[in-house]
Amino acid sequence: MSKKMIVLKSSEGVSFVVEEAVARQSKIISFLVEEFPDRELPLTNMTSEILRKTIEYCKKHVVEDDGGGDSSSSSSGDLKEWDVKFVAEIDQPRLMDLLMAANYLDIPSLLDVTCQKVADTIAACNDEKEIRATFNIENDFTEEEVEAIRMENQYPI
Amino acid sequence: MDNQEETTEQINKRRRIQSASTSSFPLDLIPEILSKLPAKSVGRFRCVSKLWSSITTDPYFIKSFETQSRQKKPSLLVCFKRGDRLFVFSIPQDRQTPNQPHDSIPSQPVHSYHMTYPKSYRFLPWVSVHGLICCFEEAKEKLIIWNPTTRKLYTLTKPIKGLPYAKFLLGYDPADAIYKVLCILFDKTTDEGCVLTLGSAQESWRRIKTNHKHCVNSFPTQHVCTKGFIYYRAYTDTTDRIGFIMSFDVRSEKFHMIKFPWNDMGSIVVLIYQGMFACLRSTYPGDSITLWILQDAEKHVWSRKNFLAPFRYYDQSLKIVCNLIGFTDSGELVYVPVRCYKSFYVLYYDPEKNKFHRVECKGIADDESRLKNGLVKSRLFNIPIVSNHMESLMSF
Repeated sequence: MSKKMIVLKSSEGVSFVVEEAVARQSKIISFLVEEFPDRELPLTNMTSEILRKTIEYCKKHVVEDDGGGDSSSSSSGDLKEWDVKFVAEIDQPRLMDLLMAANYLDIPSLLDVTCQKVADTIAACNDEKEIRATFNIENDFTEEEVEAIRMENQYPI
Repeated sequence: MDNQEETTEQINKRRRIQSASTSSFPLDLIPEILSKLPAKSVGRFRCVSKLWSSITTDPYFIKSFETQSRQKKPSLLVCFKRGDRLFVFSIPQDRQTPNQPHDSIPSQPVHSYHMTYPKSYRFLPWVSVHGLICCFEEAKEKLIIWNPTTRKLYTLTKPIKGLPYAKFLLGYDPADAIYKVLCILFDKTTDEGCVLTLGSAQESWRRIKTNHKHCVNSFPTQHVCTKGFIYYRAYTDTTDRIGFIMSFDVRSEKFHMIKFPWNDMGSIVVLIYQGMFACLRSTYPGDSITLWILQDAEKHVWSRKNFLAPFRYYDQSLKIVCNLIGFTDSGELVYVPVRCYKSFYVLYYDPEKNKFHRVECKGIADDESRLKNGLVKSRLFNIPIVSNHMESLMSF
């Protein structure tokens, strides 16, 4: 049985041929496929590397949504585990790119796992200085202001 | 399919431009990311930058944090009050390791702190409604809304002076992320109540009609709030012994009467089962209970589920009575001891395997903790325990 394929093109002009069902997890692509059937879809703000990662994620998730089929469909627990591993293997700058890709393509579940991973990275930081260093954030507070905010927000649990 | 991709890609490989990765924060996604942090990190990291501080103190962010916290795990709050000091211990409500053997006594992590609480007030927390707890005494003029996450207390004046005996039920509407307090007179048959929206510009009590005359007189008034509705036990009048359930739609402020699926007396516990309103009832004779889950409030339809577990559990090895207080997400029944000496623990009953699992919570009642908290000689009984507590950053 032949499945309908669509072509996605990265910012470098690299073409990726993907099953329609895989690509349709992106709400934007889903919309574009209907508006412009049988056309290559240029994703000019996504590098091949990030696009490949995104497709890898969508492929994994489409199998599960199919329910049954020839591939061994894993439980939602296994899928969660896979998601955790998937984002754990990506370094910080690429994680940010993937997060923005998920946002741009409108893939809610991928946006959710990437945002959660960034949040976990923040939560694991020892102090605000470490966060600023990790994410290139400029400190626009004075020492006194920092101290005042700290006093206000001593959350225990 | 992979091959196809690779081939097309190989052709273009040489043309590939090394992209400049942006490691800085995508601005419009900061609220999304920060709302996934635990509450303590949100507070702790407000001093990262002015942007972070303004995002996390914004009412819209606080509301979206509320929505996110639905996915975060609920906890049990164990509280002691001594003088003006309130000791608060937070334990994960779900059992952490469900595959442990029956006889082992694993321990759960406990987070604790203490804060000040008005000495003249008794500490009477009832239920946690989306992270806030309403504490009130019938005889006092004021009631307290407590946010255990931010350690803040908000004092509200009761609506009617000179008629202090009233019940205060806290509700939360998830659609608008709004908290309201419903006030119903105690031990009086009435078709009138008062309602107050927390955090509104003019925070004042409004009178509302209940549509159905009823009387609230059980102590403590059994009530819960789930999916935007407050459910509480009520009676036709002071002579009625069976009663019914009144529901209050927090958003539309409409009341509805729901009949019980039984017509005889018996003790019940109202609770939330997998997000739905439910009543637990002991089945006579024998040590078993029936869970009635409300399916359709309009048509008074309930579904039932039987459990072999008892209503109150007597732990032979510790000679302590435990009360059933609720369910975990995975459907286990949660029991807590009515008093504790050297250790505090939670009992989980697995209905599938018909087995109890005891989980000790270190740092609450053991000698070292008592010494640290100045509770060496205190008898710890009738300990207020609040289940289904979620973190909230809400302030008013």
